[in-house]
Amino acid sequence: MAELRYVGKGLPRVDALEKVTGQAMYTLDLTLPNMLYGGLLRSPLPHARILSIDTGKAERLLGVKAVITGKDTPYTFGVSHMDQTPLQTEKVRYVGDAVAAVAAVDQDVLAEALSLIQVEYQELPAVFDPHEAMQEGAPLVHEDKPGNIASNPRYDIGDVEKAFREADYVFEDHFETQRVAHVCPEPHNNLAVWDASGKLTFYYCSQMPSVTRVQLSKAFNLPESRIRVVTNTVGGGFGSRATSKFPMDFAAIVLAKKSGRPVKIAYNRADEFIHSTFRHKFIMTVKTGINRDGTITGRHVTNICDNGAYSDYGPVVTNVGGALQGTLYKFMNYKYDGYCVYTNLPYGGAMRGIGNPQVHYACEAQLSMIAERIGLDPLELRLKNAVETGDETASGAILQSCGLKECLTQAAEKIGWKEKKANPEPNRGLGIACGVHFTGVRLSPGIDADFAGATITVNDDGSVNLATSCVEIGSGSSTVLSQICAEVLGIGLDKINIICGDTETCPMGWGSRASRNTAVGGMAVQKAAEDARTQILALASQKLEIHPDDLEIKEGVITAKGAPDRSLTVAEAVRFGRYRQGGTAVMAKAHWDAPSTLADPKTGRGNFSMAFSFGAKALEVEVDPATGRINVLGVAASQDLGKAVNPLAVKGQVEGGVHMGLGFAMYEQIMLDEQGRMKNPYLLDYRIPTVMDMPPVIPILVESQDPVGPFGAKGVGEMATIGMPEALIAAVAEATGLWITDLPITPEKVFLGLKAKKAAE
Amino acid sequence: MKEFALYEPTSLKEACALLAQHGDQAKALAGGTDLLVGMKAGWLRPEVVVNLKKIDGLRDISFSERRGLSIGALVTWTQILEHPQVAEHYPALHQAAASMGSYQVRNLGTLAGNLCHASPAANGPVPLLIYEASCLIQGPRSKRTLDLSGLFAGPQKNALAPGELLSEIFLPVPPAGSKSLYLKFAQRKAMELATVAVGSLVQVKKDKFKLVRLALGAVGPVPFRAHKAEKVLLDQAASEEIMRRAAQVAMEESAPISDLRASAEYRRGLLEELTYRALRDCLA
Ligand SMILES: Cc1cc2nc3c(=O)[nH]c(=O)nc-3n(C[C@H](O)[C@H](O)[C@H](O)COP(=O)(O)OP(=O)(O)OC[C@H]3O[C@@H](n4cnc5c(N)ncnc54)[C@H](O)[C@@H]3O)c2cc1C
Repeated sequence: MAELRYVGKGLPRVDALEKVTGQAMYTLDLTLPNMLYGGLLRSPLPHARILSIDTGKAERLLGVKAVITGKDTPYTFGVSHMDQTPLQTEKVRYVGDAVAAVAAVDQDVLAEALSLIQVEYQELPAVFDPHEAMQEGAPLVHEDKPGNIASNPRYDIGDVEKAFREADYVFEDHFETQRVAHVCPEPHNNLAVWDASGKLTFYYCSQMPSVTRVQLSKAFNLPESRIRVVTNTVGGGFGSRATSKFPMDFAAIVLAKKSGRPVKIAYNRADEFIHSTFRHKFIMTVKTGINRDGTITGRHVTNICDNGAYSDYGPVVTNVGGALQGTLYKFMNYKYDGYCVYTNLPYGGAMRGIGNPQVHYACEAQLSMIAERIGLDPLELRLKNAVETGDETASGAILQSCGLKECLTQAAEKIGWKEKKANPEPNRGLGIACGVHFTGVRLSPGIDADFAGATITVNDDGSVNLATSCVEIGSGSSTVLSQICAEVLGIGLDKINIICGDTETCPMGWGSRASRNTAVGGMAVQKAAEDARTQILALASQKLEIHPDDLEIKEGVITAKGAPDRSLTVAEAVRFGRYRQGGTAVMAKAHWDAPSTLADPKTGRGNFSMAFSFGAKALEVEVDPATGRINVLGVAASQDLGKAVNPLAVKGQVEGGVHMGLGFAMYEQIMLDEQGRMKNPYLLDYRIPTVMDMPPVIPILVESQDPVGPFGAKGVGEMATIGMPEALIAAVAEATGLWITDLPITPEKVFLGLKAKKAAE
Repeated sequence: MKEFALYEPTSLKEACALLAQHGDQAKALAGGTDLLVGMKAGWLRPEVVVNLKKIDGLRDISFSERRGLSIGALVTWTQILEHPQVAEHYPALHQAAASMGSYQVRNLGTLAGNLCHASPAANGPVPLLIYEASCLIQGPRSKRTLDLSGLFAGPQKNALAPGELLSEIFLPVPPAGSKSLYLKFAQRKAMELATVAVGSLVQVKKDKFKLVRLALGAVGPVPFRAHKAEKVLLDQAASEEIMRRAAQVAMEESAPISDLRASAEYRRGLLEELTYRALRDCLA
């Protein structure tokens, strides 16, 4: 390959200055003249029939400009299941379900107005436990969903029963994960404006504005051309903004319409924890057949996902949780039974890894347990079973690039696996785990698409406006996409202006989710840039009278290969094209749909992603047995990303993934009381690790050069966070002899576990 | 946040008069790192806020070999952390300052505010109890001096009367040859309240405990001195066994609760171990 000038370079982020100087404009920063503050009235009961709602007093309060109830919001919405309405009319299904909304001149009036709305409820029996919810006779959260089952995704590949019969050992273990929050720096908020012509502008910090526009168009029966969705700078997403809308969004839009004024609804941190969704709690059983030599013969995973009161991404999360466990190891017998179960609790959503981190945790934790039970090295056991390039896996994935074994060996080497295993020290332990995640995905039946778009306009001076369907949500996508554009066009990075997050100027795409910006979004940029390059070279060729194939572009200058004296700038070529009779402009576009296929509806098999990213985490802990304190001494985190378009940015992603994974593994937990109210809705007792808690991290980039993605790149964002709890559980077990199978793994659990063990001895 | 009237008096007397006038409707404001958190969350809804920061003469921290350390009501944690004689003579207070919140919180928050907030888990009380600190209390009409232990009336409840302010804190010079330290067990390494905290001050002569002070935090409604445990050690030869026994007595003296941060059982276990370590490390 020709020498790369931009791709593969650790260049600083294109948005660094505006972010570090505080100039970046978030939706939360926006105020408009005459703007009102909106808010929702939420149910204090987990399950109740609504007998009456009296908004009279609130309406009469000075400063209140609009009050709405479910009568004003007759829309149903959802991600896979249309089971939600913005404001409830018949019954509420969890503590926090919205029943009315108010727009007022300031926050104080708003709070008072909300307190003046009187709702009469008749309490209904509620169900808080997914096991109980599945029993006959349990209260139904949605009357049309018997057994409270929202979905029941299954994978049934090969013959697991036979695999178990033929295995030397069969092990079955149980695992549970907790609800954890995205904790976006910018809480969810929006701002709705209707203009005099009836056009809606919705300022909305979203990961997928074009999908939001489609959904708003359907709900409000407006042409898409009459709706503009603008994200501004987005303060983090992690999947919480991949949900296209929330009750707060409908409320703001309807309140704005009713009051004739712009309406903003903004969550505080406490709202954010519960009402922006969170990672679902999974209750899992893993059964694995394995031979004495470590060959895994088959695996059966049963997973109960506590969906909460509404589905949102729950069924997708439950499905994805099963999708990838047949793609990590070579066994060809795989079964997954997922149950996504309604309860009268707050509802979860998509969160970085979308179900995959939970099931990886259970399966990889069990593999480490098995290694201990049958006396094999956990690293060797993984290497023996690891998939490789060229494999067609049990799940049906066709691996065109796979750096799994290298990820494992490098992570192990960097943590000092061999030496430390040979010389164990008291109270210390090592853990290793690996994983796989997709790069864009085609898993939703009925939507056979996984695409991104890009448009390029080259200006008179040779600079470039690049519009992408990918939203920069903090991951660095705008930088990476600009690098790809610069590389293909041969134009300096400083000449490229990237535009994102505005449906009026950006092409449509599936947004920033599923680890797809660099690869799927990057391919759209690459294709558009190739087109623009062809157009530029065609013009230059006319002017220089040299065949386009014999021309090249570097730093905005077009030269004849081997004859550098014959040259033209890109600016000159563009102007040559534009300023003449019958002229032309350099404008290019691309819509790129990833080459992947929907799964077979019977078995669940399919090559559902353009590429698969692998990774491993190896870590060492020291445990203080007398206090339970777990000190993570270091983490080696490897990531097979195909090609690092920007190594600096991607190392940041890997470190950020470790940070988030560490929170999931040992600090974070949404605690609910018996009615489903959050007990710790503030950052003191919902603990994300601070910078002081971060262990040293060694990021390892494994470049397996994928044949499909741009310059060989695959996704990183989600795989980067997978693997921490499963590596931690094994390390803590080695240090203490305790397998703590319910997350998070806290000092208190270690302490009490050791105490109980001592008492039993 | 609920609306409130803000007063910015320039003298202590004036501040006390305002606070006396508005009684329990009023709150004093120092760094605001406790008060504003409560007001924003709606737990605290004062009608009147009296800002102390316009009052001169409350920002001094000074040490003399004779009188010890004196800390004004507006002295921040950063000032304490950076004061060389605090590190030298009051290591437990220095450690408490170092493990307090974050840079930003230490720059804003005051020791006086920390004491008056009266959280059983706070960083300030435990080291101050082992240094036997006293407080100068300014009232609308008069001043009084109060032992620090008399300041705490319950979780988030201090013993000041309406109109009273803590104006200065005194720490006598620790007994010659004594060693002291502060151990805070918290789940994070920063931005965290103690799950359990122990302060110890030990003076050993001829291998015997001549003086022992132990203070415990987050294991009862108020931070307190573990007098029974101290007695176990007094005049005894220093040994692991006796320190373990004292630690057990300290545990028995405590009354931890189960809350979001930890179960009572875990707190008891932590307390016993931390007390032992606090004693052991003073001997090192
Ligand atoms: C992010 C964060 C982290 C924190 N970490 C810690 C920690 O690690 N350890 C810890 O102990 N605390 C911690 N805190 C709590 C807080 O910062 C401290 O308690 C701080 O010392 C309070 O001081 P202040 O000056 O901000 O008090 P303020 O909030 O101004 O006042 C606190 C209370 O004391 C009263 N008051 C203030 N001054 C006086 C006075 N002179 N006389 C009478 N009453 C008075 C006020 O009316 C109020 O009721 C943290 C807080 C935050 C927000």
